[in-house]
Amino acid sequence: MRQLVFAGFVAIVAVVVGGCATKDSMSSRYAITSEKPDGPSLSKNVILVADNQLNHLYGEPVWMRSQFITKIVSVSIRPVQQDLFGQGILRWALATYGTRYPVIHLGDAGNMGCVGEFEAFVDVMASTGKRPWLMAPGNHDAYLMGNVEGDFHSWEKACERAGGPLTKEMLVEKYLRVLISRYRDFGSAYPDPDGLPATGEWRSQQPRGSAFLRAVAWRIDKSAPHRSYVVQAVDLALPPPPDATESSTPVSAVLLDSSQFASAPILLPSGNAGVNGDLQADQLEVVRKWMALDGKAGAITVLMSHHPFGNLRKDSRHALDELRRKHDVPLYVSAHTHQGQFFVRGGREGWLELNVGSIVDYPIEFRTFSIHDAGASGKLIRSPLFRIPDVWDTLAGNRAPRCDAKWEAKPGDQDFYLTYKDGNDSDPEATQVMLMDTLLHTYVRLIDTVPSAEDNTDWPNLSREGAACCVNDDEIQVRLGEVIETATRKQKIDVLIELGRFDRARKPEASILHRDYRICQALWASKYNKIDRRMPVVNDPYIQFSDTNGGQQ
Amino acid sequence: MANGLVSFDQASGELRSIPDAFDQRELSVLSIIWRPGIDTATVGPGTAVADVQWEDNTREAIEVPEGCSGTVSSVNRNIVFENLPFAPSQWLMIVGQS
Repeated sequence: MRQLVFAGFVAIVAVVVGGCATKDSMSSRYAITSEKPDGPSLSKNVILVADNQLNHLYGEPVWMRSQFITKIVSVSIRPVQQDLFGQGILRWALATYGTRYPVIHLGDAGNMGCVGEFEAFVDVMASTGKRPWLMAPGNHDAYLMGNVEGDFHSWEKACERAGGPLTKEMLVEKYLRVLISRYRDFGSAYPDPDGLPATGEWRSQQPRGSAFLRAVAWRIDKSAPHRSYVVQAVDLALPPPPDATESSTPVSAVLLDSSQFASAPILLPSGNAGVNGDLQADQLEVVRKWMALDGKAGAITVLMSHHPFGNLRKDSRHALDELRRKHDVPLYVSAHTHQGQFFVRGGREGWLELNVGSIVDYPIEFRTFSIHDAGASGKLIRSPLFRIPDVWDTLAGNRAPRCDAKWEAKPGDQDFYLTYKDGNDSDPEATQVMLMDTLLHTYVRLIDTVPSAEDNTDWPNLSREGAACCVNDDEIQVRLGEVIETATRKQKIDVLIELGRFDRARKPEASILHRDYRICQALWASKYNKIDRRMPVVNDPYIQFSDTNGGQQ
Repeated sequence: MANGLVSFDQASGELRSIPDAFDQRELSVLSIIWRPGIDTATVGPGTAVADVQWEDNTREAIEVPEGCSGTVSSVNRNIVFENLPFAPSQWLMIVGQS
């Protein structure tokens, strides 16, 4: 009898577990097609990019960045080459495609949450030239390491030499200043950026199809920074065709701020900005109003935010779900996971979420997005994936970087990408010294592989104790050897900051080599960091081997 | 070359994009819209086979260049519009020799 009861129990568990294992499928509303139907595009084509995690390397040591902590939270430290050179990948993507199509950044532009990170990010985004770009804030943009608003002591240390912590209300204000400088009609509404009101809402008066930034609303809350937000409506419609009597189909996106919290995010036990996103009533009220206006115009509206829908707090999910249903939203677009994918949401409703991967963490990627007319079949979401380095193989000449295996740091080399994983030291000071040494060795390899041009005139000031230095690469290399052996951590940081300035300003012997070498270092670092070792991934077609092993590791 | 955006490769029968021609335009491509019935059409020099939809929502016909005539045997509906200004060129359609 007991066996019978047990067997029955097992059967019930199997049915329950089996039932749960059936994943939600997308509804019959959607169909995956192998070819693009012949209809025209109804919208602008935009580049979707996210999670470049521009990281300030030269702060003071903090407990979150130790070898021990990185065993628990793997992204608390990345290989230094990723931090040092990784933004080159975003720059390349923007210079190649972002100069031709507008860009929507889905957040986590920074990593530690420092003023200097955001400023450096804005500089990177200038690679789009005159093309417009907008961003939805991510949790890493204005919370310490994407997690907390408190622990100000650690935050200030982490952001030393980078302008200090970038709290949420500061981010909103700085971002609005960027909008003022880049969007003439918004700028003309607020000619004095210092006079921006604490709360505001602005709407473009341009006819639909002619602007990119259609509306923006914000709150700058100095007493409760986490309540600050910036939400934007993006006009994705096309201008009417020249011979048309009717206006074009309205298509719009709402860039939500999913990093707006009722109370200050804390690390544990809950309320961590990295685990859950949230939106407050004031932001949702604006979104409801905008979507009602779009609804009256018969618009196709897409919702976009940094956090995936499933990571939003319950009330926010319910509020957005209501809007999604009411306005027949065909797609929710998110980022945050660093693992581009589609999600099916809503159980039997089976609606779609497009999750955009990271432009710095492997698999490195970005996408474009547009809506097309599919004739009798309805509409079409066109969103081709551009994965690095695959996209490089599709482009001829030196348009895209080419990686030479000789440039790679190998296990045992002092600048090997995963050196930071060797050990469990819980002392952030020791970890910081190790990272700075790896960085110095990274510069040794860089200058060795990419020498300065003979007529280079910009040299680093690495003078020490009355000994002037340097006026050529050889002197720099000798000086770096001394620094690695004898300098203090703070001296090493000073040298590294000066080396960074030098490398940006100098004239290299070959500028393409300079670009390619740096980007390839970031790519290898990102790849091996993802798979936790140096080895091929399954789609690597070529693996070179030498004639003898030579006792290599 | 009717409008300089495409060329015809006699050996392969491929109508191909000319990256430099797209690169020199100030506008980016949103779509290439094939004309109705193109999959089985017989074409010759000057036949409009598709329209380029530019980002300002204007359209420009793609016409079959000199030296190309025959029946369409294949049409590419997976063109990467974003890469049209960059080499290598992309095949747009294949025309069987008449």
